[in-house]
Amino acid sequence: MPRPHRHQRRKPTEVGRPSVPKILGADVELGNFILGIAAPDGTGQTASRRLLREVPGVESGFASRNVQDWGRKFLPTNGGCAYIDSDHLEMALPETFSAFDHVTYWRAMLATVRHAMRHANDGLPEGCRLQVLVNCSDGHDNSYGSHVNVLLTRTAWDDIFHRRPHYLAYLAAFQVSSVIYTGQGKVGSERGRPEVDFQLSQRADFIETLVGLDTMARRPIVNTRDEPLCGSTVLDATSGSSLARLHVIFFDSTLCQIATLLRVGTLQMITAMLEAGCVNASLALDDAVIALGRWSRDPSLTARARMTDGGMATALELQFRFLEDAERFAARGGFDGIVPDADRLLVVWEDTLVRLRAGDFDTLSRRLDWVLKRRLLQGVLDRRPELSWQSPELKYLDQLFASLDENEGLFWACERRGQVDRVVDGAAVENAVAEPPGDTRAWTRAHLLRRVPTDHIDHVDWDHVRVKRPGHHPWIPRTTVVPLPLPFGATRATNEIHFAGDKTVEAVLEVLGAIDEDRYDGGSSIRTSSQ
Amino acid sequence: MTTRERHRDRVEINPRTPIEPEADRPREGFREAGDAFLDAADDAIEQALSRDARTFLLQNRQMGGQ
Repeated sequence: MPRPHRHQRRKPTEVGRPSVPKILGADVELGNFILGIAAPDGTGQTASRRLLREVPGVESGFASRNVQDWGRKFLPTNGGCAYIDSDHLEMALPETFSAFDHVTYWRAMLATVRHAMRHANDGLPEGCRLQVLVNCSDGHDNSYGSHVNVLLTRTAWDDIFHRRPHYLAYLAAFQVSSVIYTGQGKVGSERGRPEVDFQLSQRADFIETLVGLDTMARRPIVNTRDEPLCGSTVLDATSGSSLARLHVIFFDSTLCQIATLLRVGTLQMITAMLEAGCVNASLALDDAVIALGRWSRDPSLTARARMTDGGMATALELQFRFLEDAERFAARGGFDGIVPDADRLLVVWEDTLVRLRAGDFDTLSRRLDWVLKRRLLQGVLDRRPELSWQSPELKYLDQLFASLDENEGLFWACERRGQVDRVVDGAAVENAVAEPPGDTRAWTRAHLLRRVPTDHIDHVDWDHVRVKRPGHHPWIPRTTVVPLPLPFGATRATNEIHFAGDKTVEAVLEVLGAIDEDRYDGGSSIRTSSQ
Repeated sequence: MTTRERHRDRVEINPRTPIEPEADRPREGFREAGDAFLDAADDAIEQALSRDARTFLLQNRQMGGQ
Protein backbone atom coordinates (compact mmCIF):
# COMPACT_ATOMS: atom_id res chain seq x y z
CA MET A 1 0.00 0.00 0.00
CA PRO A 2 1.18 3.56 -0.58
CA ARG A 3 3.02 5.14 2.30
CA PRO A 4 1.16 7.70 4.39
CA HIS A 5 1.41 11.23 3.08
CA ARG A 6 2.47 13.99 5.38
CA HIS A 7 -0.79 15.88 4.84
CA GLN A 8 -2.74 12.93 6.15
CA ARG A 9 -1.68 13.83 9.65
CA ARG A 10 -4.68 15.89 10.53
CA LYS A 11 -4.12 19.05 12.45
CA PRO A 12 -6.36 19.41 15.49
CA THR A 13 -8.00 22.80 15.64
CA GLU A 14 -8.46 24.97 18.68
CA VAL A 15 -11.99 23.69 19.15
CA GLY A 16 -11.02 20.11 18.49
CA ARG A 17 -12.52 19.84 15.03
CA PRO A 18 -10.63 17.97 12.34
CA SER A 19 -9.25 19.96 9.46
CA VAL A 20 -7.91 18.97 6.08
CA PRO A 21 -5.52 20.53 3.57
CA LYS A 22 -7.34 23.06 1.46
CA ILE A 23 -6.94 21.26 -1.83
CA LEU A 24 -8.19 23.33 -4.75
CA GLY A 25 -9.88 22.48 -8.01
CA ALA A 26 -11.71 24.38 -10.70
CA ASP A 27 -14.14 23.64 -13.49
CA VAL A 28 -14.40 26.43 -15.98
CA GLU A 29 -16.80 26.93 -18.87
CA LEU A 30 -15.45 29.05 -21.68
CA GLY A 31 -17.36 31.20 -24.11
CA ASN A 32 -17.00 29.73 -27.62
CA PHE A 33 -18.51 30.58 -30.97
CA ILE A 34 -17.59 30.87 -34.63
CA LEU A 35 -17.39 34.42 -35.90
CA GLY A 36 -18.53 34.55 -39.51
CA ILE A 37 -21.50 32.23 -39.16
CA ALA A 38 -24.88 33.78 -38.46
CA ALA A 39 -27.08 31.29 -36.63
CA PRO A 40 -30.13 32.25 -34.57
CA ASP A 41 -29.13 29.97 -31.69
CA GLY A 42 -25.42 30.64 -31.97
CA THR A 43 -22.60 28.33 -32.94
CA GLY A 44 -21.55 27.13 -29.51
CA GLN A 45 -22.32 23.49 -30.23
CA THR A 46 -20.05 23.33 -33.28
CA ALA A 47 -17.36 25.51 -31.73
CA SER A 48 -17.13 23.53 -28.49
CA ARG A 49 -16.87 20.19 -30.27
CA ARG A 50 -14.22 21.44 -32.68
CA LEU A 51 -12.26 22.72 -29.71
CA LEU A 52 -12.57 19.56 -27.65
CA ARG A 53 -11.23 17.29 -30.33
CA GLU A 54 -8.13 19.47 -30.64
CA VAL A 55 -7.27 19.27 -26.94
CA PRO A 56 -4.13 17.12 -26.73
CA GLY A 57 -5.00 13.76 -25.18
CA VAL A 58 -8.58 13.72 -26.45
CA GLU A 59 -8.95 11.11 -29.17
CA SER A 60 -11.13 11.96 -32.15
CA GLY A 61 -14.55 10.35 -31.90
CA PHE A 62 -14.21 10.06 -28.15
CA ALA A 63 -17.51 10.38 -26.33
CA SER A 64 -18.32 9.69 -22.71
CA ARG A 65 -21.34 7.96 -21.29
CA ASN A 66 -22.35 11.09 -19.47
CA VAL A 67 -24.71 13.03 -21.67
CA GLN A 68 -24.34 16.33 -19.90
CA ASP A 69 -20.57 16.22 -19.65
CA TRP A 70 -20.15 15.20 -23.27
CA GLY A 71 -16.79 13.84 -24.21
CA ARG A 72 -15.39 13.89 -20.67
CA LYS A 73 -11.75 13.02 -20.92
CA PHE A 74 -9.13 12.98 -18.21
CA LEU A 75 -5.81 14.09 -19.54
CA PRO A 76 -2.66 11.99 -19.21
CA THR A 77 -0.64 15.17 -19.41
CA ASN A 78 -1.45 16.97 -16.17
CA GLY A 79 -4.34 14.94 -14.77
CA GLY A 80 -6.95 17.62 -15.50
CA CYS A 81 -10.06 17.06 -17.53
CA ALA A 82 -11.77 18.38 -20.68
CA TYR A 83 -15.37 18.02 -21.78
CA ILE A 84 -18.38 19.91 -23.05
CA ASP A 85 -21.12 21.24 -20.85
CA SER A 86 -24.08 23.05 -22.36
CA ASP A 87 -22.14 23.72 -25.55
CA HIS A 88 -19.20 25.26 -23.71
CA LEU A 89 -15.75 23.72 -23.71
CA GLU A 90 -15.22 23.06 -20.03
CA MET A 91 -11.79 22.50 -18.56
CA ALA A 92 -11.24 21.15 -15.06
CA LEU A 93 -7.91 21.83 -13.44
CA PRO A 94 -6.00 19.06 -11.71
CA GLU A 95 -6.13 19.26 -7.94
CA THR A 96 -3.53 21.59 -6.44
CA PHE A 97 -2.62 22.35 -2.86
CA SER A 98 -0.89 25.69 -3.25
CA ALA A 99 -2.85 28.69 -4.55
CA PHE A 100 0.26 29.62 -6.53
CA ASP A 101 0.15 26.22 -8.22
CA HIS A 102 -3.52 26.81 -8.96
CA VAL A 103 -2.54 29.97 -10.85
CA THR A 104 0.09 27.98 -12.75
CA TYR A 105 -2.41 25.29 -13.77
CA TRP A 106 -5.03 27.88 -14.62
CA ARG A 107 -2.60 29.45 -17.05
CA ALA A 108 -1.61 26.01 -18.33
CA MET A 109 -5.25 25.28 -19.02
CA LEU A 110 -5.57 28.48 -21.01
CA ALA A 111 -2.45 27.55 -22.98
CA THR A 112 -3.96 24.16 -23.76
CA VAL A 113 -7.19 25.69 -25.00
CA ARG A 114 -5.31 28.28 -27.04
CA HIS A 115 -3.44 25.44 -28.73
CA ALA A 116 -6.78 23.74 -29.49
CA MET A 117 -8.24 27.02 -30.78
CA ARG A 118 -5.40 27.51 -33.25
CA HIS A 119 -5.75 24.00 -34.62
CA ALA A 120 -9.54 24.25 -34.80
CA ASN A 121 -9.21 27.49 -36.74
CA ASP A 122 -6.94 25.84 -39.28
CA GLY A 123 -9.86 23.68 -40.36
CA LEU A 124 -12.42 26.43 -40.74
CA PRO A 125 -13.42 27.99 -44.06
CA GLU A 126 -12.09 31.41 -44.95
CA GLY A 127 -14.00 34.18 -43.25
CA CYS A 128 -14.79 32.05 -40.20
CA ARG A 129 -12.87 32.21 -36.96
CA LEU A 130 -13.40 30.29 -33.77
CA GLN A 131 -13.42 32.58 -30.77
CA VAL A 132 -12.76 31.58 -27.19
CA LEU A 133 -13.64 34.03 -24.44
CA VAL A 134 -12.43 33.62 -20.87
CA ASN A 135 -15.40 35.37 -19.30
CA CYS A 136 -18.72 34.52 -17.73
CA SER A 137 -21.43 36.17 -19.81
CA ASP A 138 -22.21 36.87 -23.46
CA GLY A 139 -24.06 40.14 -22.94
CA HIS A 140 -27.32 38.48 -24.01
CA ASP A 141 -28.41 37.38 -20.52
CA ASN A 142 -26.51 34.08 -20.71
CA SER A 143 -23.95 33.23 -18.07
CA TYR A 144 -21.55 30.33 -17.75
CA GLY A 145 -19.49 29.42 -14.75
CA SER A 146 -15.95 29.59 -13.51
CA HIS A 147 -16.25 27.30 -10.53
CA VAL A 148 -13.68 26.86 -7.80
CA ASN A 149 -13.66 23.92 -5.44
CA VAL A 150 -12.04 23.50 -2.05
CA LEU A 151 -11.75 20.46 0.19
CA LEU A 152 -13.59 20.53 3.52
CA THR A 153 -14.33 18.14 6.31
CA ARG A 154 -17.88 16.84 6.43
CA THR A 155 -18.16 18.46 9.84
CA ALA A 156 -17.48 21.86 8.33
CA TRP A 157 -19.92 21.17 5.51
CA ASP A 158 -22.63 20.27 7.99
CA ASP A 159 -21.84 23.37 10.02
CA ILE A 160 -22.27 25.59 6.96
CA PHE A 161 -25.38 24.02 5.51
CA HIS A 162 -27.19 22.16 8.27
CA ARG A 163 -26.28 23.39 11.71
CA ARG A 164 -24.84 26.86 12.00
CA PRO A 165 -26.50 29.47 9.80
CA HIS A 166 -23.97 32.12 10.84
CA TYR A 167 -21.26 30.02 9.14
CA LEU A 168 -23.20 30.27 5.90
CA ALA A 169 -23.73 33.99 6.38
CA TYR A 170 -20.03 34.47 7.09
CA LEU A 171 -19.03 32.63 3.92
CA ALA A 172 -21.56 34.55 1.84
CA ALA A 173 -20.38 37.90 3.22
CA PHE A 174 -16.81 37.00 2.38
CA GLN A 175 -17.62 35.98 -1.17
CA VAL A 176 -19.82 38.98 -1.91
CA SER A 177 -17.33 41.52 -0.57
CA SER A 178 -14.51 39.83 -2.49
CA VAL A 179 -15.85 41.18 -5.80
CA ILE A 180 -13.58 44.17 -5.24
CA TYR A 181 -10.66 41.93 -6.26
CA THR A 182 -12.26 38.88 -7.90
CA GLY A 183 -14.45 40.65 -10.47
CA GLN A 184 -13.42 40.69 -14.12
CA GLY A 185 -15.57 43.75 -14.73
CA LYS A 186 -18.40 44.12 -17.21
CA VAL A 187 -19.88 46.86 -19.33
CA GLY A 188 -23.59 47.30 -18.67
CA SER A 189 -26.10 45.04 -17.02
CA GLU A 190 -28.09 41.96 -17.96
CA ARG A 191 -31.28 40.11 -17.02
CA GLY A 192 -33.29 43.27 -16.65
CA ARG A 193 -31.18 44.61 -13.79
CA PRO A 194 -30.98 48.41 -13.54
CA GLU A 195 -28.74 50.01 -16.13
CA VAL A 196 -25.15 50.73 -15.23
CA ASP A 197 -22.12 51.86 -17.20
CA PHE A 198 -19.68 49.40 -15.71
CA GLN A 199 -19.76 46.91 -12.86
CA LEU A 200 -17.14 44.89 -11.03
CA SER A 201 -18.65 41.42 -11.30
CA GLN A 202 -19.76 39.54 -14.39
CA ARG A 203 -21.83 37.10 -12.35
CA ALA A 204 -23.64 39.54 -10.05
CA ASP A 205 -26.58 40.00 -12.43
CA PHE A 206 -27.10 36.24 -12.39
CA ILE A 207 -26.98 35.66 -8.64
CA GLU A 208 -30.47 35.57 -7.17
CA THR A 209 -30.39 33.73 -3.86
CA LEU A 210 -28.23 33.29 -0.79
CA VAL A 211 -27.96 29.51 -0.92
CA GLY A 212 -29.18 26.72 -3.16
CA LEU A 213 -28.44 23.73 -5.32
CA ASP A 214 -29.20 25.31 -8.69
CA THR A 215 -26.39 26.38 -10.96
CA MET A 216 -28.27 27.28 -14.16
CA ALA A 217 -31.25 29.18 -12.78
CA ARG A 218 -31.77 31.09 -9.55
CA ARG A 219 -28.05 30.86 -8.99
CA PRO A 220 -27.01 31.14 -5.35
CA ILE A 221 -24.08 32.92 -3.70
CA VAL A 222 -23.29 29.69 -1.85
CA ASN A 223 -23.90 26.48 -3.77
CA THR A 224 -24.99 23.31 -1.96
CA ARG A 225 -23.84 20.82 -4.61
CA ASP A 226 -22.58 17.94 -2.49
CA GLU A 227 -20.14 15.94 -4.56
CA PRO A 228 -17.05 15.18 -2.46
CA LEU A 229 -15.32 13.24 -5.28
CA CYS A 230 -13.45 11.48 -2.51
CA GLY A 231 -15.18 8.14 -2.51
CA SER A 232 -16.76 7.80 0.88
CA THR A 233 -13.55 8.25 2.77
CA VAL A 234 -13.73 8.26 6.52
CA LEU A 235 -11.00 10.36 8.04
CA ASP A 236 -10.89 8.35 11.22
CA ALA A 237 -13.05 5.86 12.95
CA THR A 238 -13.35 7.89 16.15
CA SER A 239 -14.95 11.03 14.75
CA GLY A 240 -16.52 9.35 11.74
CA SER A 241 -15.76 12.56 9.90
CA SER A 242 -15.55 12.27 6.15
CA LEU A 243 -14.67 14.67 3.38
CA ALA A 244 -16.70 17.20 1.48
CA ARG A 245 -16.01 19.65 -1.31
CA LEU A 246 -17.28 23.20 -1.38
CA HIS A 247 -18.35 23.98 -4.94
CA VAL A 248 -18.17 27.73 -5.42
CA ILE A 249 -20.05 29.02 -8.46
CA PHE A 250 -19.91 32.66 -7.47
CA PHE A 251 -16.64 33.91 -8.92
CA ASP A 252 -15.73 35.36 -12.32
CA SER A 253 -12.98 34.03 -14.51
CA THR A 254 -9.96 36.26 -14.00
CA LEU A 255 -6.93 36.71 -16.20
CA CYS A 256 -4.70 38.77 -13.92
CA GLN A 257 -2.52 36.34 -12.02
CA ILE A 258 -2.81 38.16 -8.72
CA ALA A 259 -6.60 38.34 -8.96
CA THR A 260 -6.64 34.59 -9.63
CA LEU A 261 -4.28 34.01 -6.72
CA LEU A 262 -6.45 36.03 -4.36
CA ARG A 263 -9.63 34.37 -5.63
CA VAL A 264 -8.49 30.95 -4.44
CA GLY A 265 -5.97 31.85 -1.73
CA THR A 266 -8.43 33.87 0.33
CA LEU A 267 -11.06 31.17 -0.14
CA GLN A 268 -8.60 28.62 1.23
CA MET A 269 -8.01 30.77 4.28
CA ILE A 270 -11.65 31.54 4.98
CA THR A 271 -12.70 27.89 4.65
CA ALA A 272 -9.81 26.84 6.90
CA MET A 273 -11.09 29.30 9.51
CA LEU A 274 -14.64 28.01 9.11
CA GLU A 275 -13.41 24.49 9.56
CA ALA A 276 -11.67 25.46 12.77
CA GLY A 277 -14.77 27.18 14.09
CA CYS A 278 -13.11 30.58 13.84
CA VAL A 279 -16.16 32.43 12.58
CA ASN A 280 -16.93 36.06 13.29
CA ALA A 281 -20.70 36.18 13.15
CA SER A 282 -20.70 39.98 13.31
CA LEU A 283 -19.51 40.09 9.68
CA ALA A 284 -22.79 38.72 8.36
CA LEU A 285 -24.75 40.80 5.88
CA ASP A 286 -28.41 41.57 6.33
CA ASP A 287 -29.08 40.73 2.66
CA ALA A 288 -26.07 39.42 0.79
CA VAL A 289 -27.83 39.45 -2.60
CA ILE A 290 -28.68 43.14 -2.26
CA ALA A 291 -25.15 43.87 -1.07
CA LEU A 292 -23.73 42.10 -4.11
CA GLY A 293 -25.81 44.16 -6.53
CA ARG A 294 -24.82 47.36 -4.78
CA TRP A 295 -21.10 46.62 -4.51
CA SER A 296 -20.77 45.25 -8.00
CA ARG A 297 -22.13 48.54 -9.34
CA ASP A 298 -19.83 50.73 -7.33
CA PRO A 299 -16.32 51.11 -8.78
CA SER A 300 -15.78 53.96 -6.31
CA LEU A 301 -15.95 51.35 -3.52
CA THR A 302 -17.91 53.71 -1.31
CA ALA A 303 -21.32 52.01 -1.36
CA ARG A 304 -22.43 50.58 1.95
CA ALA A 305 -24.56 47.55 2.70
CA ARG A 306 -26.41 46.72 5.87
CA MET A 307 -24.97 44.24 8.31
CA THR A 308 -27.09 42.02 10.54
CA ASP A 309 -26.17 44.17 13.56
CA GLY A 310 -27.71 47.20 11.86
CA GLY A 311 -24.42 48.84 10.93
CA MET A 312 -23.40 49.72 7.39
CA ALA A 313 -20.14 48.71 5.72
CA THR A 314 -18.38 49.00 2.40
CA ALA A 315 -17.06 45.87 0.74
CA LEU A 316 -13.57 47.12 1.42
CA GLU A 317 -14.23 47.66 5.13
CA LEU A 318 -15.69 44.18 5.37
CA GLN A 319 -12.70 42.64 3.59
CA PHE A 320 -10.35 44.33 6.06
CA ARG A 321 -12.31 42.65 8.87
CA PHE A 322 -11.91 39.24 7.22
CA LEU A 323 -8.24 39.96 6.72
CA GLU A 324 -7.76 40.89 10.38
CA ASP A 325 -9.40 37.64 11.47
CA ALA A 326 -7.19 35.71 9.07
CA GLU A 327 -4.06 37.41 10.38
CA ARG A 328 -4.99 36.50 13.95
CA PHE A 329 -5.66 32.94 12.84
CA ALA A 330 -2.28 32.84 11.08
CA ALA A 331 -0.53 34.14 14.18
CA ARG A 332 -1.89 31.14 16.08
CA GLY A 333 -0.53 28.81 13.40
CA GLY A 334 -4.02 28.02 12.14
CA PHE A 335 -3.00 27.75 8.50
CA ASP A 336 0.04 25.58 9.13
CA GLY A 337 -0.19 22.46 7.01
CA ILE A 338 -3.63 23.52 5.79
CA VAL A 339 -2.98 26.51 3.52
CA PRO A 340 0.45 26.63 1.87
CA ASP A 341 2.16 30.02 1.59
CA ALA A 342 -0.47 31.59 3.84
CA ASP A 343 1.96 34.34 4.87
CA ARG A 344 2.59 35.33 1.28
CA LEU A 345 -1.13 35.22 0.54
CA LEU A 346 -1.87 37.47 3.49
CA VAL A 347 0.71 39.97 2.31
CA VAL A 348 -0.79 40.16 -1.16
CA TRP A 349 -4.32 40.32 0.23
CA GLU A 350 -3.51 43.13 2.68
CA ASP A 351 -1.47 45.08 0.20
CA THR A 352 -4.23 44.89 -2.39
CA LEU A 353 -6.84 46.10 0.10
CA VAL A 354 -4.56 48.92 1.22
CA ARG A 355 -4.10 50.03 -2.37
CA LEU A 356 -7.83 49.82 -3.04
CA ARG A 357 -8.41 52.08 -0.03
CA ALA A 358 -5.73 54.48 -1.29
CA GLY A 359 -7.17 54.48 -4.81
CA ASP A 360 -3.81 53.36 -6.16
CA PHE A 361 -5.18 52.25 -9.51
CA ASP A 362 -1.76 52.45 -11.16
CA THR A 363 -0.67 49.44 -9.18
CA LEU A 364 -4.05 47.77 -9.07
CA SER A 365 -4.43 47.77 -12.84
CA ARG A 366 -1.46 45.42 -12.81
CA ARG A 367 -3.28 43.05 -10.46
CA LEU A 368 -7.05 43.20 -10.81
CA ASP A 369 -9.05 42.49 -13.95
CA TRP A 370 -11.85 44.94 -13.32
CA VAL A 371 -9.44 47.79 -12.68
CA LEU A 372 -7.39 47.01 -15.77
CA LYS A 373 -10.46 46.63 -17.97
CA ARG A 374 -12.06 49.80 -16.68
CA ARG A 375 -8.92 51.85 -17.22
CA LEU A 376 -8.57 50.57 -20.75
CA LEU A 377 -12.16 51.33 -21.60
CA GLN A 378 -12.10 54.73 -19.90
CA GLY A 379 -9.03 55.55 -21.95
CA VAL A 380 -10.91 54.69 -25.14
CA LEU A 381 -13.77 56.95 -24.11
CA ASP A 382 -11.35 59.77 -23.35
CA ARG A 383 -9.82 59.48 -26.79
CA ARG A 384 -13.04 58.95 -28.71
CA PRO A 385 -15.71 61.34 -27.50
CA GLU A 386 -18.14 59.92 -30.06
CA LEU A 387 -18.30 56.72 -27.99
CA SER A 388 -20.08 56.16 -24.69
CA TRP A 389 -20.44 53.29 -22.21
CA GLN A 390 -23.60 52.38 -24.12
CA SER A 391 -21.85 52.09 -27.51
CA PRO A 392 -21.62 48.58 -28.96
CA GLU A 393 -17.90 49.23 -29.47
CA LEU A 394 -17.42 49.38 -25.68
CA LYS A 395 -19.26 46.13 -25.14
CA TYR A 396 -17.20 44.60 -27.92
CA LEU A 397 -13.95 45.71 -26.27
CA ASP A 398 -15.28 44.40 -22.96
CA GLN A 399 -15.60 40.94 -24.53
CA LEU A 400 -12.31 41.21 -26.42
CA PHE A 401 -10.55 41.85 -23.13
CA ALA A 402 -11.17 38.17 -22.41
CA SER A 403 -10.40 36.80 -25.88
CA LEU A 404 -7.96 33.92 -25.65
CA ASP A 405 -6.49 34.91 -29.00
CA GLU A 406 -3.19 36.61 -28.22
CA ASN A 407 -3.52 38.78 -31.31
CA GLU A 408 -6.89 40.15 -30.27
CA GLY A 409 -7.21 39.84 -26.54
CA LEU A 410 -6.68 43.15 -24.77
CA PHE A 411 -5.43 41.45 -21.63
CA TRP A 412 -2.66 39.64 -23.50
CA ALA A 413 -1.59 42.88 -25.15
CA CYS A 414 -1.14 44.41 -21.70
CA GLU A 415 0.69 41.37 -20.40
CA ARG A 416 3.05 41.30 -23.38
CA ARG A 417 4.03 44.88 -22.65
CA GLY A 418 4.73 44.11 -19.00
CA GLN A 419 1.67 46.01 -17.77
CA VAL A 420 0.42 43.26 -15.48
CA ASP A 421 2.17 41.47 -12.62
CA ARG A 422 3.01 37.80 -12.64
CA VAL A 423 3.32 35.43 -9.72
CA VAL A 424 4.25 32.38 -11.79
CA ASP A 425 6.73 32.18 -14.61
CA GLY A 426 6.30 30.96 -18.15
CA ALA A 427 8.51 27.90 -17.68
CA ALA A 428 6.35 26.69 -14.80
CA VAL A 429 3.23 27.15 -16.91
CA GLU A 430 4.80 25.28 -19.79
CA ASN A 431 5.68 22.44 -17.46
CA ALA A 432 2.14 22.40 -16.05
CA VAL A 433 0.70 21.86 -19.52
CA ALA A 434 2.52 18.55 -19.67
CA GLU A 435 2.96 17.43 -16.07
CA PRO A 436 0.63 17.00 -13.09
CA PRO A 437 1.05 18.66 -9.71
CA GLY A 438 3.28 16.51 -7.53
CA ASP A 439 1.47 16.95 -4.24
CA THR A 440 -2.03 15.71 -5.03
CA ARG A 441 -3.64 12.56 -6.42
CA ALA A 442 -3.53 14.17 -9.89
CA TRP A 443 0.03 12.89 -10.08
CA THR A 444 -1.03 9.25 -9.83
CA ARG A 445 -4.04 9.74 -12.12
CA ALA A 446 -1.92 11.22 -14.89
CA HIS A 447 0.75 8.54 -14.56
CA LEU A 448 -1.82 5.74 -14.56
CA LEU A 449 -3.32 7.14 -17.75
CA ARG A 450 0.12 7.14 -19.33
CA ARG A 451 1.04 3.64 -18.16
CA VAL A 452 -2.19 1.72 -18.79
CA PRO A 453 -3.00 1.21 -22.48
CA THR A 454 -5.89 3.45 -23.52
CA ASP A 455 -8.13 0.56 -24.52
CA HIS A 456 -7.73 -0.95 -21.05
CA ILE A 457 -9.00 2.17 -19.32
CA ASP A 458 -12.63 1.45 -18.56
CA HIS A 459 -13.58 4.61 -16.71
CA VAL A 460 -11.89 7.50 -14.95
CA ASP A 461 -13.26 9.78 -12.29
CA TRP A 462 -11.60 12.13 -9.83
CA ASP A 463 -11.49 9.52 -7.09
CA HIS A 464 -10.77 6.32 -9.00
CA VAL A 465 -9.52 4.75 -12.20
CA ARG A 466 -11.24 1.60 -13.46
CA VAL A 467 -9.08 -0.72 -15.52
CA LYS A 468 -9.91 -3.80 -17.60
CA ARG A 469 -7.45 -6.61 -16.89
CA PRO A 470 -7.00 -10.16 -18.04
CA GLY A 471 -9.24 -12.53 -16.06
CA HIS A 472 -8.92 -16.16 -15.15
CA HIS A 473 -10.57 -16.89 -18.48
CA PRO A 474 -9.20 -15.03 -21.46
CA TRP A 475 -12.66 -14.25 -22.79
CA ILE A 476 -13.92 -12.84 -19.49
CA PRO A 477 -11.89 -9.74 -18.55
CA ARG A 478 -11.96 -8.60 -14.98
CA THR A 479 -12.37 -5.00 -14.02
CA THR A 480 -10.43 -3.58 -11.15
CA VAL A 481 -10.47 -0.19 -9.53
CA VAL A 482 -7.57 1.90 -8.33
CA PRO A 483 -9.09 4.03 -5.56
CA LEU A 484 -7.84 7.60 -5.29
CA PRO A 485 -10.10 8.81 -2.50
CA LEU A 486 -7.82 11.37 -0.91
CA PRO A 487 -7.13 14.48 -2.99
CA PHE A 488 -3.98 15.01 -0.92
CA GLY A 489 -2.94 11.37 -1.19
CA ALA A 490 -1.43 9.28 -3.99
CA THR A 491 1.18 11.97 -4.51
CA ARG A 492 4.47 11.82 -6.32
CA ALA A 493 6.24 11.38 -2.98
CA THR A 494 4.23 8.27 -2.18
CA ASN A 495 3.85 6.71 -5.60
CA GLU A 496 6.72 7.68 -7.86
CA ILE A 497 8.65 4.63 -6.75
CA HIS A 498 5.81 2.41 -7.96
CA PHE A 499 6.06 3.73 -11.51
CA ALA A 500 9.83 3.59 -11.63
CA GLY A 501 11.66 1.21 -13.92
CA ASP A 502 9.96 -1.17 -16.28
CA LYS A 503 7.29 -2.56 -13.98
CA THR A 504 4.38 -4.18 -15.78
CA VAL A 505 0.97 -2.60 -15.68
CA GLU A 506 -0.19 -5.51 -13.54
CA ALA A 507 2.57 -4.84 -11.03
CA VAL A 508 1.78 -1.12 -10.90
CA LEU A 509 -1.92 -1.77 -10.36
CA GLU A 510 -1.18 -4.29 -7.67
CA VAL A 511 1.09 -2.00 -5.71
CA LEU A 512 -1.41 0.88 -6.01
CA GLY A 513 -3.98 -1.30 -4.29
CA ALA A 514 -6.26 -2.07 -7.24
CA ILE A 515 -9.28 -4.06 -6.11
CA ASP A 516 -11.91 -6.00 -8.00
CA GLU A 517 -14.81 -3.87 -9.05
CA ASP A 518 -17.34 -5.90 -7.06
CA ARG A 519 -15.32 -5.20 -3.92
CA TYR A 520 -15.03 -1.49 -4.55
CA ASP A 521 -17.37 0.38 -2.26
CA GLY A 522 -16.54 3.90 -3.29
CA GLY A 523 -13.54 4.08 -1.06
CA SER A 524 -15.20 3.60 2.29
CA SER A 525 -12.69 0.97 3.19
CA ILE A 526 -9.89 3.47 2.78
CA ARG A 527 -8.86 4.99 6.06
CA THR A 528 -6.31 7.74 6.34
CA SER A 529 -4.74 5.96 9.24
CA SER A 530 -4.00 2.87 7.20
CA GLN A 531 -3.17 4.33 3.81
CA MET B 1 2.25 43.65 14.10
CA THR B 2 0.58 42.56 10.89
CA THR B 3 1.71 39.76 8.65
CA ARG B 4 2.79 42.27 6.07
CA GLU B 5 5.02 43.99 8.58
CA ARG B 6 6.41 40.72 9.87
CA HIS B 7 7.35 39.51 6.44
CA ARG B 8 8.08 42.71 4.63
CA ASP B 9 11.72 41.88 4.23
CA ARG B 10 11.23 38.51 2.59
CA VAL B 11 7.97 38.67 0.67
CA GLU B 12 7.90 40.04 -2.78
CA ILE B 13 5.08 40.02 -5.27
CA ASN B 14 7.02 41.39 -8.15
CA PRO B 15 10.19 43.41 -8.26
CA ARG B 16 8.40 46.13 -10.21
CA THR B 17 5.68 46.39 -7.61
CA PRO B 18 6.79 47.56 -4.19
CA ILE B 19 4.69 46.14 -1.38
CA GLU B 20 4.63 49.28 0.69
CA PRO B 21 2.07 51.74 -0.62
CA GLU B 22 3.01 55.37 -0.79
CA ALA B 23 0.82 56.77 1.92
CA ASP B 24 0.61 60.30 0.61
CA ARG B 25 0.21 59.39 -3.00
CA PRO B 26 -2.64 61.40 -4.53
CA ARG B 27 -5.71 59.33 -5.33
CA GLU B 28 -5.71 58.75 -9.06
CA GLY B 29 -8.95 58.63 -10.92
CA PHE B 30 -9.61 56.40 -13.89
CA ARG B 31 -9.63 59.40 -16.18
CA GLU B 32 -6.02 60.13 -15.32
CA ALA B 33 -4.92 56.79 -16.65
CA GLY B 34 -2.52 58.39 -19.06
CA ASP B 35 -1.47 57.55 -22.56
CA ALA B 36 1.53 55.50 -21.50
CA PHE B 37 -0.61 52.88 -19.87
CA LEU B 38 -3.02 52.68 -22.78
CA ASP B 39 -0.22 52.31 -25.29
CA ALA B 40 0.10 48.67 -24.27
CA ALA B 41 -3.26 47.77 -25.72
CA ASP B 42 -3.40 50.53 -28.31
CA ASP B 43 -2.86 48.40 -31.39
CA ALA B 44 -5.29 45.75 -30.27
CA ILE B 45 -7.92 48.38 -29.51
CA GLU B 46 -7.44 50.22 -32.78
CA GLN B 47 -7.64 46.99 -34.74
CA ALA B 48 -10.75 45.97 -32.84
CA LEU B 49 -12.46 49.27 -33.48
CA SER B 50 -11.80 48.92 -37.19
CA ARG B 51 -13.86 45.73 -37.21
CA ASP B 52 -17.59 45.26 -36.99
CA ALA B 53 -18.48 45.30 -33.32
CA ARG B 54 -22.17 44.67 -33.92
CA THR B 55 -21.61 41.47 -35.88
CA PHE B 56 -19.32 40.13 -33.16
CA LEU B 57 -21.85 40.92 -30.47
CA LEU B 58 -24.69 39.43 -32.48
CA GLN B 59 -22.88 36.21 -33.26
CA ASN B 60 -21.51 35.72 -29.77
CA ARG B 61 -24.57 33.97 -28.43
CA GLN B 62 -23.83 31.39 -25.80
CA MET B 63 -26.01 28.78 -24.24
CA GLY B 64 -26.62 29.53 -20.58
CA GLY B 65 -24.25 27.35 -18.60
CA GLN B 66 -23.67 26.64 -14.96
